[in-house]
Amino acid sequence: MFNPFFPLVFLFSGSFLAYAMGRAEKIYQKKYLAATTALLFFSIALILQIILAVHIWDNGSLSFYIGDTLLRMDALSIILSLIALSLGTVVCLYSVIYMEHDQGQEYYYPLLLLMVAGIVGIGLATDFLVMYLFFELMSIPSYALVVFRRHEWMAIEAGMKYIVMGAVGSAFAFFGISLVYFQTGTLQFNNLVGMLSTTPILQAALLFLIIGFGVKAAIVPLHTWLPDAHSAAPSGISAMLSGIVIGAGFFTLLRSLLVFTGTGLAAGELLIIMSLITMSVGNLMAYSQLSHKQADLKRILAYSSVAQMGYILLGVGVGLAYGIRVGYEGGLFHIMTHAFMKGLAFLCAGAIIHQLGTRYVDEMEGIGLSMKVTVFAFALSLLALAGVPPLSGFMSEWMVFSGGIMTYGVIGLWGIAIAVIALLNALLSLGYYLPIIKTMYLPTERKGILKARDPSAVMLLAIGILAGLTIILGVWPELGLKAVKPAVDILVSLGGV
Amino acid sequence: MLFENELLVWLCLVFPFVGTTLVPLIARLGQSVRTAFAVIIGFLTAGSVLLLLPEVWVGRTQGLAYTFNWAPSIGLVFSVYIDPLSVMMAAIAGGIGSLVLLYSVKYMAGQDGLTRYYALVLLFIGSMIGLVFVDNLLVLYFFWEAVGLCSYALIGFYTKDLKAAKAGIKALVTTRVGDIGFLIGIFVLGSGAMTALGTDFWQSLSIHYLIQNVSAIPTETLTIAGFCFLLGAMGKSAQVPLHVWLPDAMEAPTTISALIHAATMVNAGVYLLARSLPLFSRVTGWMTALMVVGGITAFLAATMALVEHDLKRMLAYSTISQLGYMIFGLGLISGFTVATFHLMSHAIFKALLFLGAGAVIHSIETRNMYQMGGLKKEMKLTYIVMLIGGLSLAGLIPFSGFWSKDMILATTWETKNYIPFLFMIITAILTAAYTIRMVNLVFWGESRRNTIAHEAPWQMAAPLILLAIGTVVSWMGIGFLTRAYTSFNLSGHGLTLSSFINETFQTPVVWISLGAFIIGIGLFMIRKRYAANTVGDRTVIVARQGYGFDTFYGWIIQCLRGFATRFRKTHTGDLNYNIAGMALGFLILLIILFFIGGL
Amino acid sequence: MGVELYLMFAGAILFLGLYCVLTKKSIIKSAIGISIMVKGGSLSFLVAGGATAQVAVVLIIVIDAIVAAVLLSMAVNVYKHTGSLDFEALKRLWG
Repeated sequence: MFNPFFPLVFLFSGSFLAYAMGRAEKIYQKKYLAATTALLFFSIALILQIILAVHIWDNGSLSFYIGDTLLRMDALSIILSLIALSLGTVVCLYSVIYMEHDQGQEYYYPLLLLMVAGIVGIGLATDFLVMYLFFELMSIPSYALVVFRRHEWMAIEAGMKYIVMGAVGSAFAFFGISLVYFQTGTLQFNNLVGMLSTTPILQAALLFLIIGFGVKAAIVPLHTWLPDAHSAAPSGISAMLSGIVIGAGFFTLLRSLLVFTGTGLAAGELLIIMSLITMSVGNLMAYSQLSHKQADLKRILAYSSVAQMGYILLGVGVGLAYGIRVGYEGGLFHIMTHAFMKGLAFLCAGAIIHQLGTRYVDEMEGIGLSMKVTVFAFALSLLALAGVPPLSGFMSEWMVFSGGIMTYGVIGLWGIAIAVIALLNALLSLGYYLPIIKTMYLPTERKGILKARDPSAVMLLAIGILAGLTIILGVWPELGLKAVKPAVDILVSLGGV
Repeated sequence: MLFENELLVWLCLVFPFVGTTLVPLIARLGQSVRTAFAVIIGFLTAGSVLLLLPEVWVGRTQGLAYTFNWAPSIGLVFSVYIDPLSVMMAAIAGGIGSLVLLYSVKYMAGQDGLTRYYALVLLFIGSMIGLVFVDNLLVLYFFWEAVGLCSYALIGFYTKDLKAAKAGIKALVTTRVGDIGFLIGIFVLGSGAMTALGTDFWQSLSIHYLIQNVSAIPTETLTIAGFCFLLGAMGKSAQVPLHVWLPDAMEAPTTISALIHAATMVNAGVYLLARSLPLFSRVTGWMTALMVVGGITAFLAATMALVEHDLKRMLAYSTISQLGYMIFGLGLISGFTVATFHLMSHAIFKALLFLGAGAVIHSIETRNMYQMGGLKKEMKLTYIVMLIGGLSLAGLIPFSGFWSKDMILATTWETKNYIPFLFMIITAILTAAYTIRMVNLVFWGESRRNTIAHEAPWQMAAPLILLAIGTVVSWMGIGFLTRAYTSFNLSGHGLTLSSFINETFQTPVVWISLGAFIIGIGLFMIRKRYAANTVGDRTVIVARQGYGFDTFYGWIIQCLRGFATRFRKTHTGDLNYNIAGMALGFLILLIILFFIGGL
Repeated sequence: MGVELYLMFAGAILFLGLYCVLTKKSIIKSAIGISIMVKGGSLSFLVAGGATAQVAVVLIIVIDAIVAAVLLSMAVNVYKHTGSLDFEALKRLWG
């Protein structure tokens, strides 16, 4: 019952079965076979994961061997796999209808399952190599999923950029791992913690690891693939990519950086500086989208992901650098809330774009009056992203900013400077979230918009689940923080601060 | 005692929030059921707060404190602490809020999106009550922002009106500028106190804990936090130069304007400063800053009100000006009582003025005062209540505005701040002038309309009458107020009604302030001669444009947009450049590590 | 110094590959560049030696092959749409 490998087993076997069902779909002319199979396996994995999570929060982490390889499920990996599985389930539900007319169902669902399996696996890994393996298991399906609609030029171009940058990043990360191995002769996290010292080779390794895994985490200036890939992918996949794949990329980075704590290498300070750059560039670019005609809705959301990634980096960065607990808590909680609210935003945007056949914000005037539920949920997600209470984004951004300002106690006025930059960013982000909402509720005469209707009940259910989570995590943050707290305990104990 | 105090406190909070969530569900039963439900919830809220009022105001020496574990994982506790100030603020929010809800039944009838309207109004009231009840600064910030959200959504209620939508955004963004300061202030204060007092994170954010231990907190921390709090209050309470959102917010339905101006939003800033007064009062220059900000705001806004032709915008400027008075009052020694007293009387007469203006607008469907005139005969009741409200605003005895404003002026005089006193007197003169101008343009003289006015129906008239009575009698509560303050050690000056009247008439200030009223009317009489001269003309034009604040902010946004557009070109989309970005990232990290990591 | 020299050589290979991706405008050449970069990593593992290194190298060869396959299949699509394999064709999305 409590074998932590079970979710992974279900995801893998689900991907095989979904492929088989996808083939059967074609032969027997039936619809939804692959989709329902994938949905079933996703839900089983999610339920198992929840049971495991409750068990592990009470009884501590579970380790197990696959051959000689040690995998471990602890609170830190639970937070990642819980988010990935729940978002994956919702996206799968959404895709049942959203992707029903697409060719290649037998590829879509297995790839989705494998991608989530990769994310879950990243959390389980206890050494660099296994983590890298799962990291690639996540990346490669995501490349393929971005170009899933390969008749669209946008998808092809975006996928090309994504894979080239992703592969270069992976090569960097691999080199960084090899340097760690060169220096220490082991890749086990447990063995590495505390045995590292400040040598030039390790400093180089730190740089390579940040650059390598930072590509997936969309740290500026490694983010340039993101706006293309996240806006060109099918909306369900955009939700996954923005929601959790960049989070998983960051998680990989964090696991690598934790090894370096206590060595005098300023990993935390690096993250803080990168976070400020990341959020500023992300917000500025998202803002600049609106200043020209034909602002692409999904592109704005994609850039906003870059900015939100900056908040996550800031939270974890101050935790890593100064041991500020609320920073860790905010950072991890923001990964969670961001996954749900950005997922929600992309799912709604997908439904709107699907109905209207346009991606441009100024052609969506008045859509709020005909697609009432969808646009309301969309407005909710944007307000949450902008950090407005009582929505989840407020809670987590608030904790992140708290962490940022708390550095005042350590580095004095620099801390205030960090906070001012972060808060000005939050202010700037209002400059593009609110006009989108405004545009969508303006009156319109256009027929296409007046005729638009809310999507089918299944898609609305997916949207509703995420909207519910966005509100609940804002009013009752304890639900999410229960998962965050034990993870932060681990981070603090590893960080040794 | 009818109910447990604890139950009452939670009821005050639970009613509006549960109401908000239930309104959309109840709306399925029918429009009128929903409206009735919202109004009932409003009155239930008001009832709970008013039942709480005597509990706290009479014979207690300590606040009611209750806690609720909100997020135990991170130690976040929802702690409530109720003293006379918070219960007064809550009574204003709940009482005026419920009257506004009743008024809305008729005023808003037949509009689209009323479910959203009622849900948000209840949320607005609830957030404001939450804001004044909570003890933890961070939780206060939660409600602070929630109030901001409600104002954004309600100002932009007419989504089909582009101007309204923009005004909503402007309100949220402008107040957020102040909130940057506020949040930083909270944390600087919290982390400073945490180190100095050796407590945990959440404890160090409790206002009452901080006030009790204020002497142990380092002055530098208090200085930074104090000015940051001031910035936050300037945003919420629309002080110059962050006042620009409030006149634009007049695009909202008039009921919402009344709510924002009297019951909720703008009071939050004054409340925050009043609440944190014991913390910062010994910070050098902080009190002076309050006086300067408040004084400038009061004066500038009064001049703008003098030349405004839109009835609601004129009232908005008058609110800004009166808020300036309050902030100014807080900057005085023993200013706590006078400022909060003025807040109370202002809330009542400003709600009256707005709802009266709403009745006028509802009836003749224009907001331009030059298209009104002669409404005296057709809308007798509205005329009388508006006159009461206006005279109270202008500071005529015996209306509440006179007593509270005179108290501010007298305190200024007694503390020997003669130059600020002069300034405030001039403002008082201007106030009288613009009030009379408003009454004249709207009610007196010949009709300049082509519509026929009708008197307000009872759902609108009842709140007006109640508020008018409040305007006449509310000042008599001064005895309760000061005694409650004294017993809670909020302010040292206990008064009874008779001693208050005595004190008021002992100083020469009362004659000066009454003189100001008469001079103001005189100024209004000679307005034609003033406007005829060119210098006057030019000042009028400058004042009509709001002294260029909007132009300035527009310019900043233009610059930002230009920069963003240019910055966008750095993202060429060329893969070679993208890879170069990665190499650049590598270099940046190398450089940073070189400087901070001791490479 | 001896072993470090090999390591520097491995690093040089990595940056050589990066230089290739950075300057060449052809998708095929960039694919080759990526492969070269990965070889730098493999080499540095081999320099360190040991059982884990062998596992790592085998692993990365497999992963590199898969990535290359996906990349080249995308390149085929690019070619179908534009008739060229040049980065210049990939500049429609920007900003």
